[in-house]
Amino acid sequence: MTFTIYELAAMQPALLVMIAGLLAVGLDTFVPSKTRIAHAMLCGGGVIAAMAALGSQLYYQRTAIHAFGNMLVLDDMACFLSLAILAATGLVLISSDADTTRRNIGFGEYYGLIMIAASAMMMLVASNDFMTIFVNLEVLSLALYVLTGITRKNPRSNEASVKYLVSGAFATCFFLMGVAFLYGATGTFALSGIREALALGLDSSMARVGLGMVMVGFAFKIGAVPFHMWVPDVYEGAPTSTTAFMSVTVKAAGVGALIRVLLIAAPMRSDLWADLLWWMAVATMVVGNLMALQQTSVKRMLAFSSVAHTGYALVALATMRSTDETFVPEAAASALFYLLTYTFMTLGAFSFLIYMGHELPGKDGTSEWQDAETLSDLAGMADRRPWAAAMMGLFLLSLGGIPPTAGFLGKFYLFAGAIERGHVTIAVIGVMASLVSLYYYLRVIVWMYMKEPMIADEKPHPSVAVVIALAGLATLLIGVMPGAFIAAAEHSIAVLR
Amino acid sequence: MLATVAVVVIAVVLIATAVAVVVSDNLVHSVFWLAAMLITTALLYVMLEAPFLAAIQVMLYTGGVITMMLFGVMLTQRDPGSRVPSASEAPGWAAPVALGLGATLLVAIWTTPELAALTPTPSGDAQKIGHMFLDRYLIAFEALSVLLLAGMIGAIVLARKGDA
Repeated sequence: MTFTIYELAAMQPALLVMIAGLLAVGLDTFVPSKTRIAHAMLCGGGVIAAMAALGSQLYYQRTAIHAFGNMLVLDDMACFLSLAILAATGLVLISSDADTTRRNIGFGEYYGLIMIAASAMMMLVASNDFMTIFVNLEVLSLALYVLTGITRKNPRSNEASVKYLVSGAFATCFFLMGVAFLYGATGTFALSGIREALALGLDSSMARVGLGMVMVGFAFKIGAVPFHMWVPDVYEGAPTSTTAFMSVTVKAAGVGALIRVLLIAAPMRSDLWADLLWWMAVATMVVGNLMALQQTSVKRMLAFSSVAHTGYALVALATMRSTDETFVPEAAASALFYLLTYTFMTLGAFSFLIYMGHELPGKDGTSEWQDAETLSDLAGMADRRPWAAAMMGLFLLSLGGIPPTAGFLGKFYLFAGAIERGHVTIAVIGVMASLVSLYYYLRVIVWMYMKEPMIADEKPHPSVAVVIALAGLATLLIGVMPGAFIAAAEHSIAVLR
Repeated sequence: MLATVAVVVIAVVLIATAVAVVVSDNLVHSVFWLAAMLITTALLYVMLEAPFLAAIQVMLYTGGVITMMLFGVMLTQRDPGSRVPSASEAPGWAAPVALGLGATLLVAIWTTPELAALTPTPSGDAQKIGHMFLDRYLIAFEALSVLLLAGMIGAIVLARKGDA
């Protein structure tokens, strides 16, 4: 097999991100100051360069690049999801200088790990072979285990990190076992090779069990019920900026890879996986929303709400097989669009919790940074900070699915598509679940606007305000002018081969 | 025939040592059972005509990982011979679920008759493995180096002295 230099273009965006991250790690040697603004600038530059590369691929190159023996493919879907991942990474980077300084994470490795994770996610959504899918899944998980425990003196952060590591390793076992079974049954790791084998009638029970276990592995990583147990603890224990980063990017990358596996490896055997996904989507929506109802911590509530949103995205995949047994791969476009809307509203909501953080007196006279978590932290803050409260209100209404926000259109597009393909039951369950979710989203708004303030010592940093403003802008923009984004999502699926 | 007997013996020893790792109360004993399990796995590789993989398995796991684990136990143990109670706190349905999963896997393997014909003959040839790394699986191989790098950075971040 010979490789041409042209094939490097397929991984150029991911490479740019990774190089920026590695340079940021090395930068510590040359920039010995307390602030990490240079690191943030460098990584931001990498993100912008990668976005430019993806943009030129989308608008000038146009045809997908199949590289390295079809192990990687930079097609429209990879570009679409990579851009969403990069947007989230960029937003996290804007506030990360202030955030790391406050939490005393005085080292550039934070940036290196964020960028390595982002580049692995970009490679993951472009992976066309179980070998690359697996390795990139592991790279991003490893970086996130460390980012979860990066506030090393915080026992909750440590606990979350270990919990994530153990459950993540467990998920990896399932995934790897499934891949081994698929390899045993079909003799190949390549997604297209597996499709050919299945078409030849090699759909032995071993291949089916393998496919099932691979889906279990993905379900763990994206936090779908019944494999969601780690989500609330990890999201709550991790530093909020890490939570914001991983809650949106892992979901985009994981669901994206799952879409590629289903559409490339097993498109004409949707009878094998559609029902499984149907039950998973229903359970995820119901359990996620019911658990979120009971939470008093806003951060934990948002963690369960992110479980519920995984369920909404899975509705699109579960209903790709319409009730009259035709296969409609275009349905996956609504999952892509939903992931995009979810990225901005969730990132915004978590950033708001960073914005409302305050200092706690530490043990030895120093002060310790504490992001806002409970409802009482937010009580009555709308009087003091009307703009931030309005933005949080916007994110919550968007998460609940109220027009004219992005969240409404995402859900509308999802459920309307499901009904069009005859899946009325799951659409009704989804709409009911989002009605339930309105209760706990609106409760936060009630506390912000109608309660007397309890704690009023938050120390907001302007860079976090910038993140919230940009995320709010994106949420409104997608909500008001969704056409281009929906068209991009539909085109991504249409050209998927 | 002889090969089948050997594989069955290896499988029984493998499972027995794996169970011993889990049920042993003494951490050091657990580590040694793990070493026995890993060496038995290497024997399995030999039976599957992959001697190179077997050598790597012994060198990396028994030589590297187990030694590291013993050092870890030695350096962190507060009182000698400390015991880790292995009595499971898992709920009652954990065992049935695990057994059910195991049964599913077994049935899946047994009901796939074409398995032997499909699986490509393994090549234990180190040269061929090297070629695969730099040819067919080049990109996965390169991504693995990033994995190691991320692991290294992560270990340094979590273990080094200093603030945070």
